[in-house]
Amino acid sequence: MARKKTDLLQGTLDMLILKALESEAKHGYSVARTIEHSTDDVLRVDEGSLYPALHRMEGRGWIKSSWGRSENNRRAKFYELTPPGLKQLTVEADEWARYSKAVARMLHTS
Amino acid sequence: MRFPHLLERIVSRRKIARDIDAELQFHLDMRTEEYASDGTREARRRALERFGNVDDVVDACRAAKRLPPKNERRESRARGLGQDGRYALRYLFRRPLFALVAIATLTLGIGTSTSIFSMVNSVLLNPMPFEDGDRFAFLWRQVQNGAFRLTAGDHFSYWQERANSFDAMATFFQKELSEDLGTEIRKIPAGVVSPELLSILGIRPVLGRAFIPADTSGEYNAIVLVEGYWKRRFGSDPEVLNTTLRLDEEDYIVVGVIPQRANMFFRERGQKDIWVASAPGQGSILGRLKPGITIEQAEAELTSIEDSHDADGTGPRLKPVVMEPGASTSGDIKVGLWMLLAAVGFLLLIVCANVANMFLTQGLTRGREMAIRSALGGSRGRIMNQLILETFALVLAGAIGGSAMAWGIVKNLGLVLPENLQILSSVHVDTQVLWFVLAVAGLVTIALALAPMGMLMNLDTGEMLNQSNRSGALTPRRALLRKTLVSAEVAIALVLFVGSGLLVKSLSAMSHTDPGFQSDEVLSTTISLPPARYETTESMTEAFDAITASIERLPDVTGVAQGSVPPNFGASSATVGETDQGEVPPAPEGSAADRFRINLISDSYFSVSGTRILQGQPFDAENRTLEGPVIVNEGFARKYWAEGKAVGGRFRAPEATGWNTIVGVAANVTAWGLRDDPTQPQMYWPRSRFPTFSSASFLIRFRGDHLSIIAQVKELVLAYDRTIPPPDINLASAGLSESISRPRFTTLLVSAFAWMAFVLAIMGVYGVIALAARQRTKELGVRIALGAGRNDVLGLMMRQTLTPIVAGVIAGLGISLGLTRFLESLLFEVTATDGTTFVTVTAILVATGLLASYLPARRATTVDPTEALKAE
Repeated sequence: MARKKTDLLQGTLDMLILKALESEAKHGYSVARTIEHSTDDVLRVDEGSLYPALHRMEGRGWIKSSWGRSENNRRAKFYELTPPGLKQLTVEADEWARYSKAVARMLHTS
Repeated sequence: MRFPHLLERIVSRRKIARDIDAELQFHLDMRTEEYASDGTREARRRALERFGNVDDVVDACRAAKRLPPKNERRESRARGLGQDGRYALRYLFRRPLFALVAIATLTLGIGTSTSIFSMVNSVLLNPMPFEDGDRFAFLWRQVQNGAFRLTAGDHFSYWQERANSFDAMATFFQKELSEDLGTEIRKIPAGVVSPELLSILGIRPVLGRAFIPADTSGEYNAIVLVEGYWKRRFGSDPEVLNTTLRLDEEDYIVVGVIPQRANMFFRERGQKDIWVASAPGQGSILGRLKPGITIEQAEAELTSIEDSHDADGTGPRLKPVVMEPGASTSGDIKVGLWMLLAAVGFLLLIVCANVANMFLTQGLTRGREMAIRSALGGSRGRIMNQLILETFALVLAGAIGGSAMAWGIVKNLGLVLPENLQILSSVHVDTQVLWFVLAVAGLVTIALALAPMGMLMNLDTGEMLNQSNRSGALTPRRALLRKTLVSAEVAIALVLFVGSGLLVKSLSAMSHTDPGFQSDEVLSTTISLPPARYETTESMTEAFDAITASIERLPDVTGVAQGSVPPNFGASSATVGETDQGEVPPAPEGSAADRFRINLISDSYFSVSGTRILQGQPFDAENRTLEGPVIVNEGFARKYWAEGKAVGGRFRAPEATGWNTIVGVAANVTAWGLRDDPTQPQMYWPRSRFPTFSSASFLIRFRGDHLSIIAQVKELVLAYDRTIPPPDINLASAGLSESISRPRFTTLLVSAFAWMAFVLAIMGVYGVIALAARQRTKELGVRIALGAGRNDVLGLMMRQTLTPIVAGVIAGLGISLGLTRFLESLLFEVTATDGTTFVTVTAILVATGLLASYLPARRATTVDPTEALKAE
């Protein structure tokens, strides 16, 4: 817990959620854990915005949900990526790559 | 969602809500387990901390699913509401002028409408504000086709024994008792009631006891004091019980004190100071219908009782009549009150329109604020809440102010009311009135909140934020709304104005009408002899003649005449059954067509009153010896005889035996107040034809100062007998002006409402053009810079208000034409479609409206183009 935690940049949460769901359907808690784990706990998901974001994205048709059994055999709501969601992920990932490359270049050149 | 069925939708909404709760629960459980497995203490608390405010997340998820916030969580909603309320108040406090003007306007509207409603409620809707007052009914017997309403008599016990429609009956009447205070004789207005009346009314004494049957045994006289009199006269002294008052030379024992509200029973008969117990059977009958029995059923039952009663008896057929308490209220009071309520309702509409207009003006700056809040995540619901709360705060303040105003008005009503409108002094503010205030406040809030809400519905955040850069131009839609409001205001103001114009014109016609008798140098008074001292007709005649003779001897008095009633008051009425021209078919039930008034007069009457004798002679010693000598008025003569042929004509009442012979025809006299039809048949009989009553009306023609004559006449009356209550003596013209005091009062109020409406409407017109001018400053600057003449710009601006004013005038004229016919019965010598009034009122309103728009429009043309362009 020594490392400093960075709050998510606004607008990136959607992309990270889509990314977390890319490999398999996950429930909300698992999405949060995935984001934290795969960023070595650098990014800390604000759980208060995670669920509204999931519901909003479901409304937009990027993800769809169904009830299933969690790893400890409890009833949980799973989200999975839809084709439009996958497309959105590529769009957002490209966008992000361009953006971060630009920022990085800026930081290194000046 | 595919066209979901409503039910399906509700079910699915509930399911979604449950899903959200379950989902978040799962997350929290997982997190708790995670912390617990790490060995963290208070894992649950930590998990919750990490999560943030669960309620907010639930609401955010619900919002994403277009669901309302969770309603079980009252606490949080209440917190939100409290916050919205604080915002609302803060908003209003930051705009004190707006808030004050809005509150003042609302207070005016709610206050006036509540006062008038209190009157309508007390007089028309809830005339008997007692327990089971809606089951009260008055019982009469009526001579068929005639207006003689006979009261109780021996029928009371007869009906009481047999009628099953009523569960209680009581009788009552009123009289004045005189109390000799040594230095003066004071009249005490008294209600005389049978003992059970108090219990029917549900009145419990505040001191002592109510009447009991033994009070009417005749061994003693029992009275109860009305609370106000007890306070005034005895300083609320409880020792007053069982003391004796000497009234009309008899002893009366005070057995109790009853609350003031008991007097509401006597309504227009005025406030009583004491109630006297009397044996049942005298006066009018009050019955309480059994629950579920209608007036008609009761009347039918009494009729059948009466039929069987009459079978053995003789005399004219008498028809039982059962009337609702309010039914006896005179027609023009009813029409007048309904009209006032309508007028004040219109005023309230204008108030709403004006305040709504103010809101819309505010809304221009408001739109930006809301757009910002909405962009920052304020939900529509919350913003709406704030809007409604703001409106509500204003309306609430207005309602409180208005109730206080109404209470003040009603409380002091007795002071400003004309004598013959004393019925309104029984007006009271009760729960029904408070309900009315609440209902009005609710409706006003809704009406007012609609405008900004409509705005919110169309709220496009981006557009609004952008607009702010352009100092909020008036969107066409909102401009239209404002113009519609102005049109409505103009229309309503016009309706009120026309109404008040007609009433004013009619009032002026009344004051300038010829009453048919000379009233300027004539005093009129009524003298009543105390019955205890004057028991025989002879003693009464002797007293009146002696008083007449002594007044005649006064140096400045040129003539004295006696009548049974004052000239401008019609007495009882009767009908004509047959004339020497043939039989007169009975008038339809309830019609006044064939009724005539009777006045019993002394020979000098016409010379003193100045009423012209058109044909024939006044009474003299010679013609009084004819069979039934009578003088009729012109209206009577014209009705039954050809022009100039009435003298010598004969007629008689239905079922009467003797004939009347017409010896003269007198000019019509306006009776019962000036609004009355003076051509209504009237007849004069010589006083000598009938026994004298205990009261008589005197006309005294005089020269010089009327005040000194009045003082001298009073002295003469006292000198004759100190026990005669001192009479009220007035100029006969004062009686006339009193007879128009009721229409004057109504006219005054309607005019006041019309002026308020007028001012508010003008404010509305001014507001529209002023705002438009302010918003178009830049545009106008550009126009002027490009060479547009000031007059062109002026014209451009003025045209903006002309349309709503003209539209309002047209609508107003249409509504007025439709509504003024309801005024017809209140108008005197003015038709409800009086052209002059309509034209004048329209002209005034249009002119003022244009002036109101001219001022801000002119200011707009004086803008310095460079300043205007820089203003951005």
